Amino acid sequence: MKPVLAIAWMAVRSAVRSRVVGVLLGLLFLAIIGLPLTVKSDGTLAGEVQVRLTYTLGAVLIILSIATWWAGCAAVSSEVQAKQIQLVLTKPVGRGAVWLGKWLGLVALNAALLAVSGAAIYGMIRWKLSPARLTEAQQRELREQILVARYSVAPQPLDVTAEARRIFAEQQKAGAVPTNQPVEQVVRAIEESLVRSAHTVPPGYKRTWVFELPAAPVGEQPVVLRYKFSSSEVTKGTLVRGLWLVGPVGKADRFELEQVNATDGAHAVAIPVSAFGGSRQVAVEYANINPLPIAVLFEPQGGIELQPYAGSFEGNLARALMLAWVQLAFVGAVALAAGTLLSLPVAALVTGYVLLLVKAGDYVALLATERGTFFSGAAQGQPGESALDWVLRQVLWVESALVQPLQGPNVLEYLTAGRALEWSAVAGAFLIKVVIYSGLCAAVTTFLFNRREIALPME
Amino acid sequence: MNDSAIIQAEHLTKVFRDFWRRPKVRAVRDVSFEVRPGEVFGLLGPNGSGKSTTLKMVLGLLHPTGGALRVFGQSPREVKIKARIGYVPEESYLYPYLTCEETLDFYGTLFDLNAGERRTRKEQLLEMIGLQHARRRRVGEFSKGMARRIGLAQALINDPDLIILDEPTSGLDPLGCRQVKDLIVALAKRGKTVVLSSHLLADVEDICDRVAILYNGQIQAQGPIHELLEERERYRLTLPHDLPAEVLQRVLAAVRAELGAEPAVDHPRRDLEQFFIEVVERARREASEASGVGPSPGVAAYLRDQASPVGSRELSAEERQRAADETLKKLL
Repeated sequence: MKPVLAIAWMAVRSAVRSRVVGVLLGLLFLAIIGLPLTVKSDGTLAGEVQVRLTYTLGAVLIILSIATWWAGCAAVSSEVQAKQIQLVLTKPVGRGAVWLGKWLGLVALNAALLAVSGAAIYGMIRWKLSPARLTEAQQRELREQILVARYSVAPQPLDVTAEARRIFAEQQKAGAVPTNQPVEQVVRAIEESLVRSAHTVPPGYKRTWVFELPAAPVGEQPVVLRYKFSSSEVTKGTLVRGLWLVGPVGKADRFELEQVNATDGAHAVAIPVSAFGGSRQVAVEYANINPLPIAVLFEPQGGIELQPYAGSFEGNLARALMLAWVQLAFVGAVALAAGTLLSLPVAALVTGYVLLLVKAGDYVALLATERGTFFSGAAQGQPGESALDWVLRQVLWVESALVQPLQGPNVLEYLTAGRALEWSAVAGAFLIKVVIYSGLCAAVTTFLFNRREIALPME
Repeated sequence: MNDSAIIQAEHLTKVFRDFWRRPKVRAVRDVSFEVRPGEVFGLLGPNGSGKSTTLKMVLGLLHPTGGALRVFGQSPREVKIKARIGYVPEESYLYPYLTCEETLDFYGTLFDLNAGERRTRKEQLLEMIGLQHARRRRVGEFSKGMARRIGLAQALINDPDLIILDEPTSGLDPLGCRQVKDLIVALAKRGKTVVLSSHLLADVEDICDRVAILYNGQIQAQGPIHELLEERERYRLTLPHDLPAEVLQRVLAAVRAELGAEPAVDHPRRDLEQFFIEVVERARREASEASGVGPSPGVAAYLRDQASPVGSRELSAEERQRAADETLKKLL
């Protein structure tokens, strides 16, 4: 282990002395201090803090990702070119140990830079929250809505399968189903339509969602009801009046709150703990009491959720930074693997492709299903699907299977919405991205690196 | 082939291929040699003759295309045998942001040496290469010669059994060259095996026990250096320097009478390298301050044979001459 740590320490020392770390720190501080001065929020206090958090942490992650990408690709490939690796590999150090040492150097640097950046961002938030700048009420508002960690609980899903099958059978009997469409695709379309209508509240109507909270709310921290909707009125920013009723399932005595909201953007209201009556099963009802006949459509995915208190913002920020570190460790492993086996420019391109693939994981997964259409323009199972389509779909399926486990919570979205990033998410990401995927990178790279000739004349 | 050989190469071939795996350059062709324990073996040849390629195969950095190669009886790609090898490359491939001390410490750690051992060897090596005063300077700021010295020191940090030197005197001043040669002799005296490649024939002649001469990737000649160079049909007569002129005349007259021919007589010339070293040493004694490489006390203590200090192995020009005279006397 001593040689591995020596290589890691040497990588850190070289990065510091070559002024890479200094320049990175300069860029990070410029982003953390300078960016908030140049961007505008929606004018609300919560919006301003959200924008600050989003831009500063986002910029930090982008800068460190690019730096890790470049440093990972260059760590071994530049040493192969400068021939320093020849001296190292003539010592009793396995090539896997060289790879591990370089990777540990990268992750140690990232940990230090993320810690410094996180401390600077937190300092900026504390400065914003200082009593000299905000009233107590404003501070409380921020502490309740943004600077907090809350669980995100979606309503219990609607089971529309049986109803969708029934409608399909009826339409098929009536000859209203196109014969060239796969049955599953048509049934899914009917299901989606049913879910959408279950989230639509026509004028003068009300709609109820049932939530199962992880625990009955206690303490002083309210539960936040967060929602976003569109309306049948197409004018942007139309105001809609609605009445929220919240209480334990089956109880008539409920907490009521009338709200007038614009149809664009997300909204949040604080529901006192007393409204839940010590119950985990909660009914949330929305009554459309708008004077004008406007229907309200809540987004079926994430359009309405209850957010009970989960912990402090500080803890959430720490977990967000850990998730970011895990992601950077994975980026470093991919870049280092490519840079160990390929020349710097080729490694940079290959790493870019892999990271793009991971980023577009959901889209790749979608293409891999029957919804993707390629050369023939025909979906899977449709008449006219070509062999080339089939092959490409299998390739995409494999790619999708490989990158799907790497998808995780969007750290920025969670943190700026006050949503809790749980320890289980951090542990899961560490297991998948660091232990399994980075370990896989190490194993494959070591196997190939052991077979690579290092002192070829063209190198 | 000898089982106890440190390096055994049999019909070694190396072909460099292009991107499409087509043969591009045949760098080494059917090369066979062996290096025995404790000998100084030289690979000679002009540029591009396959010396460095052969050494890099021995080090496991390149893989032979054909033939067999064993180092310490194992594949050169075996990691654990590298604990017994020290390698000085043709250029100093060092990390420019590390200081002199850190460089030696780094490579010492790769050999898993403990901190105390690293510290001791570092100090002795720095003293040996005359760079104690530059211990905290970054290697990237060094001249080529200074960097070569650090390159040499890093190869000795593990007290290796086999030292491989690729063009070891390249980039060194005559003083440095002499130190490297003395070092090689000292290491050989201590039972270490040394393999070096060079196209500087005088260097090789001074220190090698056996040589192989490569050209176009093939061994053209191989054997003990004294056998390869000795002209057994000719003799050289060296007389003591304080010989009175009349005695010399009598000796010449006797030779003329015996041979019936006029013998060639001239004054022996000093070795330029020896002369240079004497001049620099004198200047150094007179100067109070000097930049660059400082004076060296000789080989690092841990590399020396305790029973027979290296100073006794360091032959002066006179000593070499005296030894030659004695040999000649025995022959005559």
